[in-house]
Amino acid sequence: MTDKVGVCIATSGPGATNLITGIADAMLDSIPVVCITGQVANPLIGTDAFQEADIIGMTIPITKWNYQITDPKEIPHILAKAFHVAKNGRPGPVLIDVTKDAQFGEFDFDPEQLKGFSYNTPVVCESDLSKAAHLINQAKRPYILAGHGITIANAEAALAEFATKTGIPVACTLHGLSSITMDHPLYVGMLGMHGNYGSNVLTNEADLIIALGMRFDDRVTGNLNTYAKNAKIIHIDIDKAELNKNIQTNVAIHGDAKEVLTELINHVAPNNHASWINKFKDYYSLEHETVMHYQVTPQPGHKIKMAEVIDKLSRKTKGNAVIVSDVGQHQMIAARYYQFRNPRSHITSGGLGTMGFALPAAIGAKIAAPDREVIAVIGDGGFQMNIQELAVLAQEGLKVKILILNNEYLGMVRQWQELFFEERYSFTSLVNPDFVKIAQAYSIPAMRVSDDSELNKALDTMLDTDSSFLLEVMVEKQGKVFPMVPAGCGVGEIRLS
Amino acid sequence: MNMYVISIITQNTLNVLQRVAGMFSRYRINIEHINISRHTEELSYWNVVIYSEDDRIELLTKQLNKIIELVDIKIIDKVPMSGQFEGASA
Ligand SMILES: Cc1ncc(C[n+]2csc(CCOP(=O)(O)OP(=O)(O)O)c2C)c(N)n1
Repeated sequence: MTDKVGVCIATSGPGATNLITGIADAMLDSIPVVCITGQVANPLIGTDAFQEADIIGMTIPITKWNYQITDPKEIPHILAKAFHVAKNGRPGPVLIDVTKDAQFGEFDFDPEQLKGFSYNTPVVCESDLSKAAHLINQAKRPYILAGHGITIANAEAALAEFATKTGIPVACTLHGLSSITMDHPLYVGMLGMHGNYGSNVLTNEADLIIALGMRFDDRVTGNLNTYAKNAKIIHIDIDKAELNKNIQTNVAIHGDAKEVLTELINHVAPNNHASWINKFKDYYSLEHETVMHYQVTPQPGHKIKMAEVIDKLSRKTKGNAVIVSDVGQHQMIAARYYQFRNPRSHITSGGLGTMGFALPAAIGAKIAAPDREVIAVIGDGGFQMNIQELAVLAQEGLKVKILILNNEYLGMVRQWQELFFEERYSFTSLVNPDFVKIAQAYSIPAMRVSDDSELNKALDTMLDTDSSFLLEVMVEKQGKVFPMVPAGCGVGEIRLS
Repeated sequence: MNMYVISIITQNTLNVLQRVAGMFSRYRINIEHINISRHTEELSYWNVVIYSEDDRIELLTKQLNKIIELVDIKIIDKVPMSGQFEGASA
């Protein structure tokens, strides 16, 4: 939401271990956060003391760095270092474990202890820039893939300027969404398993891919053996370990997306690629006719569809809200059908795909951006994974809107069981509690709609209410998200039905 | 399959062994030989022998490089192995 480092504090033992999923989530999604955990007193370490857990050992693989403080004098320097490590380079989580005796100890504070940390972004060499510019200027069907790195580097304006000058179409990864306004004439859609049809298929026709702050995740590339075989690859990333990891590059630039783009703009020639962009438009029309139009248009006698809800929400909020989605079908539908118009407007758990993410994340987003409309879009399955956070919402009086898209299934898993496991449904049908009553028990106003005719009014009520609000929309039970690149298939094998 | 001899310099801290060794096991690379000795009060010198492939080693080295306590890492020897060593490590 902001580029500030988040902080969370947990008690020793179970408090600390409860952080693990969140830390792993932050690690995979490059979220800067400093976690401070309590630890038993130094003399008790290793004695299986009450609420002792080796949280350092447990979080080594899921943190950028972690450290145990046993001497109070270390606190200023180590915490300064923790923030430095969490924020700079590729952001990520840091955990600092503080023993009880260190917490209660005293020391003389000297501001000098906070100094000594400076960070310089990697220096980009001129020859890489000119090599990249040469490929860009020569390309007939160039294609920009924008990832989370654009947002992290605050490179949204640089991306738009670069794309506009070169006339190159831009697609976004799930975490790249909202780094370019979807109204932009060069925006061609979302990548990945449930991304747009043309943006996936045309990856294989592109003759140049310019990957900006993205990591060629398997959900984006599908089968690597058939991915982008006609393209030369320029890959720009702040994490050197991502370069040449999944995809062999022609030019790999280790650097900050904003700095590299700002330099690159001066090296490239103005251009336009009208006929190449028309191909995206043709595919978009096909996808619109076969999938999107049907998904957003109410059918008399049928249940409400998830896409219809998101489409209406998008129009009513004019694409200006912050959408925080959980994990599942509703997440993909929110990403596909909300028309993001501002940077930092889409928050979700991408890398780890952590159900239960949306409610606490929306609370964090609202605290970070109190003036923005924050809407959590959650499935009926994921909602119960962190439903207790309603207490925080109520206690802090935060105006977060919660939209439950209730299909009475673990919908995404049900979709896979239907499509790939011969409809052998296993533990995906849910018997849910009354979410409206639960919200009301926390004094959060709430309502439920099942009928298309009530949907507009219900959304208006949610948006107009000057407090938190929970709206539960009963949606089509066995809906499916399409297009879809089946697991293991290439992006060219994307299915429309 | 090749044998690699890797030389690493790290800070001499409490968790650095777990951190570095954990990265090898994450990549399912068995450590055949390891020697760590204190070089100065602050630094440890490591000598590690493993069997693997070039692309794997490249990724492993880059990931190891991200460890805050790691000061330097170099592949100092690479010996191609004949068939009999296949499967020497997972
Ligand atoms: C903590 C966790 N457990 C399991 C999964 C696997 N999973 C991915 S999507 C999904 C179903 C989500 O169901 P629901 O929240 O109802 O959303 P829907 O797909 O119906 O929109 C599951 C179980 C996960 N991603 N995270």
